[in-house]
Amino acid sequence: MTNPTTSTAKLCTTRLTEPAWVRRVFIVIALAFLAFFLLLPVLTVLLSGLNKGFGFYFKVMAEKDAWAAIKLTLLAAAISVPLNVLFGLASAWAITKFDFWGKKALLTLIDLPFTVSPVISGLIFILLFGAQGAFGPWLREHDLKIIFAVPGIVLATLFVTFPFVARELIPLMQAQGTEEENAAVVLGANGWQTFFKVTLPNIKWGLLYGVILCNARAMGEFGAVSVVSGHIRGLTNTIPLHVEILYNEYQFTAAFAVASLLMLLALATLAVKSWVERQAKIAGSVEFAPKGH
Amino acid sequence: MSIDIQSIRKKFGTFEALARVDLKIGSGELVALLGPSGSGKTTLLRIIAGLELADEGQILFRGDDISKHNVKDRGVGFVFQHYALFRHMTVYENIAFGLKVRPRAVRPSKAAMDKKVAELLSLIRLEGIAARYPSQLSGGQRQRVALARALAIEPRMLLLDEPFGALDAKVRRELRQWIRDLHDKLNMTSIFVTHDQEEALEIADRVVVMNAGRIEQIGTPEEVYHYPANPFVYDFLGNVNFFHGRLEGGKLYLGDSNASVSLHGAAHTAGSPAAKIYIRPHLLDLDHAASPNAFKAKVKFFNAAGPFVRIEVLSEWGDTVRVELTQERFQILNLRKDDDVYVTFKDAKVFPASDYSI
Amino acid sequence: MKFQKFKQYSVIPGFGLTLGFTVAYLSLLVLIPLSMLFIKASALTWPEFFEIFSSPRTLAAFRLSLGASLTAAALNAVFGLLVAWVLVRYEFPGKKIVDALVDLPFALPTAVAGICLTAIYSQNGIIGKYLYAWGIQSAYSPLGITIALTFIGLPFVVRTVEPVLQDLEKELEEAAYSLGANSWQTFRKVIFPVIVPSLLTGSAMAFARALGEYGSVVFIAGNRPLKTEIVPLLIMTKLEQYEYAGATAIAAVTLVISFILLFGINFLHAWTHRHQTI
Repeated sequence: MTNPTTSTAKLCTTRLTEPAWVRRVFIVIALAFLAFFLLLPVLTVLLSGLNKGFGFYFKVMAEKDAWAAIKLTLLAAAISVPLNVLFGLASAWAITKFDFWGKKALLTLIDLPFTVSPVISGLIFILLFGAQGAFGPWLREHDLKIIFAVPGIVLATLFVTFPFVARELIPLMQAQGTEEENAAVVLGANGWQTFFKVTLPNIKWGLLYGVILCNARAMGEFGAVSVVSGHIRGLTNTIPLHVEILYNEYQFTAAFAVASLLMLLALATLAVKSWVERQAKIAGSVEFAPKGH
Repeated sequence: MSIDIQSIRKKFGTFEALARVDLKIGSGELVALLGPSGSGKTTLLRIIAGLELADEGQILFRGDDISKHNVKDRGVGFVFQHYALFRHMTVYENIAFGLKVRPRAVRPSKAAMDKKVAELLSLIRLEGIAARYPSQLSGGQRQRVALARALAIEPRMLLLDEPFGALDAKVRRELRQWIRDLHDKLNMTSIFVTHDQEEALEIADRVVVMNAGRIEQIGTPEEVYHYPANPFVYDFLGNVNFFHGRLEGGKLYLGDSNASVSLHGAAHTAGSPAAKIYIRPHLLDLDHAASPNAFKAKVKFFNAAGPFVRIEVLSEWGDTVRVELTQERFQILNLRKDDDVYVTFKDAKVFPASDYSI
Repeated sequence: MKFQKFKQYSVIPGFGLTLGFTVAYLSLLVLIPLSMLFIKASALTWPEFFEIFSSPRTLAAFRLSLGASLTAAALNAVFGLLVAWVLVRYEFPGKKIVDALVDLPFALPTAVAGICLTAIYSQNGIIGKYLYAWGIQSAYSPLGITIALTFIGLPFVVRTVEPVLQDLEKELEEAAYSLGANSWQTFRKVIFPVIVPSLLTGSAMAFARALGEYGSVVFIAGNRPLKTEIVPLLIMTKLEQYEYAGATAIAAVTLVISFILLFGINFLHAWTHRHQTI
């Protein structure tokens, strides 16, 4: 038998790790894979956008159509994010604070848009509101336009982004349970007081996280919006659609310049996201590790 | 305030959590609801609080039917099993919560609130921690803050769900005595749920022993411990030895053997000769000499750490029997492993064999 | 006897309001529009349906979409596991940034992904020029499509395997080591079985996402019918040509496949959780 102290010492050095060379090989392969698939695209977009200099870059941005696309994108996000926050809060409250029949089915329904192809997400609104659609004739009679117009873009954006907030909040609120809410009610709080004073402070990071993801998708959605937009320059083009038009017209530098806006949005989203995650982790770790004042 | 619980029933799906429970609790009493998990004790507590609705039955607070009142109007202080402190609020904010959420007309002023919180903090002996967050408190401190928070709304009664469940053994014992003292000081009707018989017996005025949605026995700690109403209560409150046997001609035959003992307290059984015999380890004695009222056994194991010596002996018919002797008695006997000894009964409880079995 | 209650009693208020809003919102935004698709699709006769699906173009599109998505999911299973492993278990400089960057495909608009992948892998691109020099056509080909689908599916496996690897009890591995197993045996017999459900879940999610993906593929695919035309693009083309019946039929079938995948994923998810809580 070996001496017990040396054997534990050996256990500690080999503890949970592979030989150093294996570790190094794994890290190198993983990083190379990520460099090819993630880092390279980031650099490509930013550098290609700038390859005719900053003057050209700002000229592209200042163009009337680009500006209209930016405004429309902001509008679509400004409508769909708050609505989906409302939906996220309501559905998470109903699902996590109560037990009722059909809960599982409801959860599956909320997941649905994640698995529906963006093209189909747009198609369903054409089938409803397009010229040949169920409400098409009625809309034409009343001189209303949804498809190939701003309302269609907002609807498609709403559809593809609506699960984001709910999907962040539901697991979080499920883990937190209902004890604090019960305590608040026993102490005499009404529903709104319970929500604003007890629940909301506990879920603020998750909510912010959901809002960020929802916003990123709302501003960046391409397929669904592309189907319902009709690509009318200056009217129904969002930023991603504007990128496509420029690209298809072989204005590559301009396309990448506009795309770099979206890339920056994505990078900012990731930065805020990891910051939020760190905040949530800090808030969470206080829970488990009591420390002095 | 007195509480009168009248034939409360509650089902969860097909599971019967409470089957027609009746219970009267006097004003100022400290009552323990004691039972194993699934016995319905927590459900009963939550129904009294209004956190759960009964399917049938009434609850009267001082004669008024409050079955239809919601939680807020019942005026109960509830201490949750895991305290349910608001983790993003300081101790001060936690305790003041119930006052802050009152409608403006009946909300106390800031000064009055400060005074109230200070009073409660001194009551729970945690002055000077008002600015801390729950995560910065120990388990025992959290427990006391939860209690102060429940008391802040000046409830008519106090309900505690497994108040010591999440604490370690030493803190548990301290807090137990503290709760008893606090109860005597406030003289508020209090009900607490526990699965720990020691806890219930030590601090409650009365113990309600529950099992499978029914109340098995209600009584003072002495009553339920010394005069258990049925085998379940006997078994649940403290260690117990259990034998099968039969009663014939006033004699009790143990196991399949011819070993018999006559018992003065053995008159409880009725009808059938088959019987179940329950006896607590400290009500058995050992001796080297045979006697007509003893059965023979062999010493298998003993442990003398603690106020009593715990001994396991093996009876002739193969049952392991636990015996507790005082240290003095153990020394006089001078027992060794594999010694033959004779076991005598100081007292036992005999139930008909058809009753509850372990 | 009372009938089974719809909802368990709770003192927490707001059930009617929140559930009502949730159901109304879901119905208006999801259920009614989606059911529209099936209503329209069911208006087709069987011969019409058969005609759409027996056309070589439709069949080629489905074959390509399924094949490329499956390949991409498999690639992601391998590399996603490796990335998750490296991120959870090893320390190296820049780890935080790498960790944040993994989610880029979630956050980056697909159109941007599409044009930059095309720029990288086309004949003049940084990588494309080497691949083309070796005779590998990395853009406007099934390979290009697979590259794009691998990109957008990348975070799924990493993010589903990561928490499971993190929660893996150290004692489990220490026990294996103390019983004399080497690293490979420990991985093979102790760690791998635990992460299999999450690995499958992640791959299935990547597959489902790839099947419906449009924006990042449309630029790099080349979109030649029968050769590099994926299903979402076929739907789009039919829409642009006002062939609503064809678009609807193909969309309905795609949607059914997505639903089946969603149920499969939910099932796998339940399986993961059962394993995690022993």
